[in-house]
Amino acid sequence: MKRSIALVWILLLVTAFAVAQDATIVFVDGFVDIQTEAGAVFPADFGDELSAGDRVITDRDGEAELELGTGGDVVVAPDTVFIVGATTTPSGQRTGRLSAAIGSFSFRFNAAIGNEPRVGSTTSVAGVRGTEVRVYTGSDGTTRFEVIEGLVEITDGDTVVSLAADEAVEVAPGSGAGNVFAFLEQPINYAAWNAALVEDFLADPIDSLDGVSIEMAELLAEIERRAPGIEERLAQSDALGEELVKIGEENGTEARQEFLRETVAPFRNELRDDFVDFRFVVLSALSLRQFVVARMAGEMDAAYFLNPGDPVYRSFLDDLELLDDRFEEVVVPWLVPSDL
Amino acid sequence: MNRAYRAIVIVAATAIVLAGCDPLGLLPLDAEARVAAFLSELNADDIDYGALRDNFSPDANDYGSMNTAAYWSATTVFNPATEAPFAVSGLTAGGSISYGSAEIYTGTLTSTTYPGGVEVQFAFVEDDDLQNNMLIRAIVPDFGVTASDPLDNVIIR
Repeated sequence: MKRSIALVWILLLVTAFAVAQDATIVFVDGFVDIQTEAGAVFPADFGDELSAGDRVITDRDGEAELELGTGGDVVVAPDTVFIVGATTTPSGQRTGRLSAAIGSFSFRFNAAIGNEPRVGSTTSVAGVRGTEVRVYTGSDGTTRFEVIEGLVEITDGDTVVSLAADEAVEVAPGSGAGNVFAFLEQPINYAAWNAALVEDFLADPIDSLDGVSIEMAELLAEIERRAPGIEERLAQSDALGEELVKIGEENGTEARQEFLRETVAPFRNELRDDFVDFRFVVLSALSLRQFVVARMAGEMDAAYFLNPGDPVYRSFLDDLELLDDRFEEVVVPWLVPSDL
Repeated sequence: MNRAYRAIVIVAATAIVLAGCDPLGLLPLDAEARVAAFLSELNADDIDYGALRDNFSPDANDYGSMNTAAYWSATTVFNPATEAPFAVSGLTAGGSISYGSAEIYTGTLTSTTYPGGVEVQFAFVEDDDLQNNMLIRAIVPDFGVTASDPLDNVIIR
């Protein structure tokens, strides 16, 4: 059950690149940067517009407040990488997706109920109803949801974990949602919380990496399941292209146009849509590697800098190598330089 | 800034403007120049798909895939393998589609399948990061497919 969180958010977010979710910077304090999906980085300023895929990056003294086009306010806390996204639910409804790759943010929905965004991290996501919620994402990918008002629902496999006001839950990659607990309304000390997560991670890094590996394995399985079909249809698309050329040479322009209109266009339009969905899964795996696994590796490198021969560190590196081998085998062939 | 350095900067900037080349993408492109830049990359022998995507708004639905060769080989009218070379002429403001707040331009596309030309509409949005820099949000060629939803005809979006 717990292993299927990644698949759930893939299903929920499979068209995340399909819809633009606009937000506007309404307050900036300290050093805050915006990184566009295309990779450009510039200092955030009042009135800056954000689109799906853009990131707001705050330093240790930086803070930013965003107003969502669909209603709602987001406060991005210091030391956070916050991602503006969007998704289309299985019913076709357009909603935003707000997540922290690391750090924390709070979200208050202040428009009519019915179009609230999904909130969470790169590894866990929740639906919200008329909610004020705080989200924390730790270095190991653990996501903590705190509900101040309203209701939050976290889909974990076939199970839905519901949180009412003053309730919280932590969701760890691979091991799923823990017990729901009551929390004090004051924000937690993120640095202390994250330090505890890092401490827990360093106490048992192999188990933590295994948890993330399970998430990654589900993404890789999805890619492996769909890749042959995509490859086959891309080859068919090329064959249709050759046939198109041949028909043009043998039967003239009008026949070529008819073949393109009646045969090539329907096939390729469907292929294009499926390919775009497939690419989203590929880019999700890349995000997991970039945001969660890379941070784990960084913590381990720092912790064992003076003791690189430690068996725990060596074992971690062995597991990491296995994960990376699979990543290179399955994901990398579908990446292009401008994805990095 | 000393005088010699300032003169070099002014000469370089003037040369870039006069030559119409902007390798760093620092100058804004209007709709016509944007289409020219898009077609120039699409017609290239060795297409840089990252650069090709740079002609589109990050709001475009398929933006995450536009930097791959596979995406373009799965497109119909703008498939570089079978349809190049491309040209667009007579690009003018206005059109029959509406696409949010995008500005619509209409022109005539010629390609291998359409040597006589076919109407094409471009939806443009202004770049958030560079004033007057127009980016393509969607392309809608009218190549005769009848669709219940007009947006089904949007080839690049």
